[in-house]
Amino acid sequence: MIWKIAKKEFLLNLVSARFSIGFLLCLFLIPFTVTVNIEDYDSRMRVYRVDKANAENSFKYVRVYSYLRPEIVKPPQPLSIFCRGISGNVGNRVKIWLGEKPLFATGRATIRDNPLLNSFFSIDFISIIAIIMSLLALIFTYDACTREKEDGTLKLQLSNSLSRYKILLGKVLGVYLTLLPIVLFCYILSFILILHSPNISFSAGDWGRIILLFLASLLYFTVFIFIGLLISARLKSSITSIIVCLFFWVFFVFIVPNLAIYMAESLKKVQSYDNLQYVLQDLDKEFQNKCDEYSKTLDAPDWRMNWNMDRNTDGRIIVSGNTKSMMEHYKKKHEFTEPLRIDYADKKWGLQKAYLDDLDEQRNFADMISLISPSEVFRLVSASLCRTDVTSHYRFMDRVRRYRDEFIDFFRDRKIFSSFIYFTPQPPDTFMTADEIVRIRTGGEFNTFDEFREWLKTHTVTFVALRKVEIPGTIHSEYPYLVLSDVPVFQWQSSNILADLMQVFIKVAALIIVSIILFYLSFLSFLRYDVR
Amino acid sequence: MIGHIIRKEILENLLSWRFVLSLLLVICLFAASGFLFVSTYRRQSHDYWSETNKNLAGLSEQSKQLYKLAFYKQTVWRKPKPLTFCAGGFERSLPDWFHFDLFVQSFPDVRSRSNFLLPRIVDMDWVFIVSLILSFVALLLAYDSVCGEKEDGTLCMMLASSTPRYAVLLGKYVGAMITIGIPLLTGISVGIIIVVTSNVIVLTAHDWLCVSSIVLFSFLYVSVFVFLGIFVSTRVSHSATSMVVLLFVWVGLVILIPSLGRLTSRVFSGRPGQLTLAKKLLDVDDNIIADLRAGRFNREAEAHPQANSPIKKHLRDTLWFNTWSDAKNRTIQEHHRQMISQALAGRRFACISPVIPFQRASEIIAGTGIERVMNLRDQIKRYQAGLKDYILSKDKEDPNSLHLLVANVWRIEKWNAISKEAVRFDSVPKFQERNLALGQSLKLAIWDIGLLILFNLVFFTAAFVSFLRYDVR
Repeated sequence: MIWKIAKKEFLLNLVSARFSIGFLLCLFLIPFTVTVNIEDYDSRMRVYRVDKANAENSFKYVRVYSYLRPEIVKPPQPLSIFCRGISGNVGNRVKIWLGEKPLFATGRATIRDNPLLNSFFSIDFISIIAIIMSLLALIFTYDACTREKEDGTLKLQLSNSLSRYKILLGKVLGVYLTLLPIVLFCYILSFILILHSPNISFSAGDWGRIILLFLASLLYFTVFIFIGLLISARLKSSITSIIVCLFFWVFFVFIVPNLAIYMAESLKKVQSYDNLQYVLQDLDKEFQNKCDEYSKTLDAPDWRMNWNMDRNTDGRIIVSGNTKSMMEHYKKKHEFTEPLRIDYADKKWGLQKAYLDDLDEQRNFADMISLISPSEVFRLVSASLCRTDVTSHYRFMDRVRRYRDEFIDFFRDRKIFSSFIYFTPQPPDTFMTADEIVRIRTGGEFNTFDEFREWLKTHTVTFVALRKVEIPGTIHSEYPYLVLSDVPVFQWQSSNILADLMQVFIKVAALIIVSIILFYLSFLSFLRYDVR
Repeated sequence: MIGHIIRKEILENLLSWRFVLSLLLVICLFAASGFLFVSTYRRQSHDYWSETNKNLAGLSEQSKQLYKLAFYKQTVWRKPKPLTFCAGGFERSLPDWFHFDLFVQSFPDVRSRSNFLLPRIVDMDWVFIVSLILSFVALLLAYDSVCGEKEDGTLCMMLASSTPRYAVLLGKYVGAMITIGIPLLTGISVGIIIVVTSNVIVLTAHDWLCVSSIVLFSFLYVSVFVFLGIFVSTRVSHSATSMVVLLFVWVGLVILIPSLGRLTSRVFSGRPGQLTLAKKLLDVDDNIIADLRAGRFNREAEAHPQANSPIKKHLRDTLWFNTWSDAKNRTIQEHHRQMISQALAGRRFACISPVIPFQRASEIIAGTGIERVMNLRDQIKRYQAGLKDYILSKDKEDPNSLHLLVANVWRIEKWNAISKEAVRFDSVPKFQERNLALGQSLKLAIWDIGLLILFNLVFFTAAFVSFLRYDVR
């Protein structure tokens, strides 16, 4: 009997205007959104390839270890076609510095878009499902009890030996049978589009995730079906019922998500990023002062002359052709400063971590508030399944920080900070004394450095005298690149499906429990429903 | 007779569920939006002033030597506008950071310090509440205006008397508008009271005028939906069908079309990304170097009218540097124009929904949104010109300088091309964003207002014609 009722409901829905309008709406919206998101993914992939090639080049072509600062580029997530999550807010590149632990990901992924387009809402597959499916679920159920009562058919049905729970179950099944094809159709349409585009390859795990996403969508509209059913069983007329349903819908789908974030922003204050920057700058200055003080305690080199030198932030330095004592000076200095730099990075990290924790607390608060809306729960669940949620971002950043530790351990194990190869490509046995350099460079005009220094006191143009004969090995490009086969390489394994399932378990369970409660309540209400 | 119908409609609406629910919802939303505005505005203006003072301190430091003023990279933050509680214009995600010196205006950037872990959201401003919730309320009040009476059988009775059909239609329209005016005006007053009593902003007479024109737009916008509701209700015979149809139309017009604007603008008008800009800037550098090698600037320097004066030996470098910075500036501006036109194209498409004209007209009046970004860019351009005039005129007073403005700080320093004297900081022009006068902004918004009126006329005519032919049996 249940099946008969379900079939009747299904056929009634199928011929109704609401079904055809809903179906047409999906037919128009889904291809449009999916195509645009696929194109977006393609362009992010292009950016990724360019960045990746740049990162690999900068890793390959270094002559000294101080210039070795790997850059990690994160590939775009193919599942972001379905759910963007926060992937639009975070970058795709992280540079490994000695003087700072990685805080955010930066890069073109954040600025790739036209910022002026932010004045439109952005919309993806999941948000279409969240908006349309909940609306359809309510539209198909708002009159489940009231319509039949108004038409007088409910009396007729109940005058048979049909129990009320069967009618209710039949109706639920009927709505399910109507909505299922529409959701299935949406997913199949997007599959076709994805399979059709050449640049996207989903792994087996990804397909598994999409199936889970599909199941989550079913669960999501189940909740709305039961909301509609409950309201319909509590009210006397269809018109009041649809109005109440729609108020709930607007509240859950549009008001709660915005309100949650606003409330989180005004109730949970976060210290400004600028303040953090000032404190960090102070620490940088303190570090610099310590380095300068240490340099003063070292024996002064005989000749403070850098023949060929490049230096950059984060203590990157490359020199060659200097006197032996100058090189020794650099070595001693780096032996002290580089470990200190890493210590200071840890010190800075304490502050940065506090800032990140603040942000996270704010986000957590917003998520907690938004949990009252089923559509937000669905959004969070799908972002986790699509690996575009905050946790996947954290997991990636944690991995990057661990990699930095591995990288530093490599430097420490090899005692690279206290070796010459950290800052010069020149082999130590070819270092010369100041006297030798002066003799060769001036073509024998001066024999010792002291002689040259005496001469300097009366002359100003020093370089011309020293450029008579070039010493080979002064220019960096004469030396080969470092062989970096034993440097640790970053490997990123994105989370497996089980970990993500564990993470969404509570939310999914909450959705299930809520729908059971709603069904129970609507059952109770329908049992006491006045059919007259 | 119209008066009677109006009165009946209002009384009927006031006693209904939908009215009570919408009144409560609307008042709560306006109150929430007021409180949220107050807390956000306080934070934003604190940030704004600290940044602006930093910029001014830098400028005053540079005024100790005139030539340095030209090279100081000034930063202008977008000032939080008091009227953002009416129309926020999505300013949270629009560029808020403008960086420029005398020669080049960099690409404006989004430097807002919002939490990147949170998804992007829309502003909870009046425009959001009116466009989303009140349009919905309007449909709720109008969906059964004709077919509901037909179902009850009262329509036959009404038309059996000597009341003309247009009077019935107008009565229903006015009744619905007055009913909807109650939650709208109550909500707005609650919002305004919260904002004004919080003392974070002081509304000037001009602001009050702007607020009242935005209220006027809200009525125009809501009236579109009332007409739409009456129209649909004259096309169908059951009020439930009417509701379902209207619901889909509403989702399409209010939610989907405005969101699709972003997508369409990307599909139909190319994608001027930041990668392209970087590439174009590299091209500029290459072209200049090629020109330099080909001796273009030598030739131009020879042909220059001042080729025999004391500045002769510097002419070539001056020409080179100035052409270079001009070309760079032009490229950035051109790129920015492209981005703006892309965003505007998306909006133009989305104009088939009345939400967009309403949103845009309110943004223009409140002085927020994309229009403001464009306006700020132009104002900065004018300020650059003013600063240039100022530097040149001050420079004329110094007999030691060459009076040669070169877009390179080292050359100017070495050649003494622009005076190194100190100037009084008070006399240095400072950037200040000017708001458009109400007349000017109304002129800008005229198309959108026209569109809103057009929507009203179209739906009114449609409702009128189909009601004239309505089968009341």
